[in-house]
Amino acid sequence: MSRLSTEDERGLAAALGRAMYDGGLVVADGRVRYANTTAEALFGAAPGELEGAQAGTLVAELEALAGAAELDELASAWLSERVDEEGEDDLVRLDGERFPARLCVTVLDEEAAAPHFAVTVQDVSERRALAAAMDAELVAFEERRLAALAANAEVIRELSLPVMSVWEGVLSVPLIGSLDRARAEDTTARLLEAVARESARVVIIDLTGLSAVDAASVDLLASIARVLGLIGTQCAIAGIGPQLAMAMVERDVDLAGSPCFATQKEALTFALGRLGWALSKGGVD
Amino acid sequence: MSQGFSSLIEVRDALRLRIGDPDRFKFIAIRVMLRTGVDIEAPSDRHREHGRTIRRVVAALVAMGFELEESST
Repeated sequence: MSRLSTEDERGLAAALGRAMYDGGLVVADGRVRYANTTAEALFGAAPGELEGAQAGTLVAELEALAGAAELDELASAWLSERVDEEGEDDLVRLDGERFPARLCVTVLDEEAAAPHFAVTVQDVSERRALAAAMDAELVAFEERRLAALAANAEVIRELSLPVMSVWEGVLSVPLIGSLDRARAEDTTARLLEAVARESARVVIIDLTGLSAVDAASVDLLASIARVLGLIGTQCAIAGIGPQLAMAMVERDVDLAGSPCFATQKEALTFALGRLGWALSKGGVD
Repeated sequence: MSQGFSSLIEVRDALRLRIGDPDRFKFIAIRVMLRTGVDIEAPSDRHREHGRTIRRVVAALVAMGFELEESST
């Protein structure tokens, strides 16, 4: 293949440059050797104004080093790092305004003493703005999702601990699922509120639906009974299964004198008796 | 900011550890993709151990409020 003369090369580069939609630059020794019209428009330069300019002054990362002796060398190194990879960097117009750009850097003649870099530049300001708007939408969506999850958790918490007034002065609390420290604290707080509101004298804690019972749960249950005892409310425990009974014996749990019953019915009979009521076949006397 | 990550897999795992919730992790991965064009859930071979890409992703995460510790991986 015959080699092109320098003039031919310049003519070819200019023709290709005019046909490009992207900004096109050729940089060697850290200096702009050629810029197409799109590049001139992107950098706000007059025709021919970029030729001979220090490439480093067009790069935001290197802008602060303008005037430094090693700027051209740094610009060549900066371009070398970007060869054959597509990436985005902030560039600088001649008026000092920055803009985000997608760059594609290739080496034109690897055997030359000073490599000639061909650089294509696309202004991605609009895409960045669109991405920022989408990002803001995503953040707003996530905030709404988290708020909905928190609201659901609150509803589930409310539903998982119904405090029922089963008779005048008697509250019943069926515990369902597992009892952990957070739930025990929540149960205690809500029970104290309900006891004060209803002027309750007996609270029946029904454990029939408690699925997971461990040693810690037993201690937590005892602490609820003790707290209720301190404010003068009798606690009655109903629905103690074999597993819980064994755990209570093993740990020698003090339920603050709270009587235990196998069923809710027995506990209610006890509660009514405490309040001076007596159950008979005809009803409550 | 930790600059010590040597692969996007490490960044991804550190972020997963920090976030915990898989749905929230996915959401953050989409935001990172929007900002950097890099898929941190399944990084391409070209991106996986590319120093500049890793720094770009870590910087984007920091800008989003997620500073990662390399030691947490």
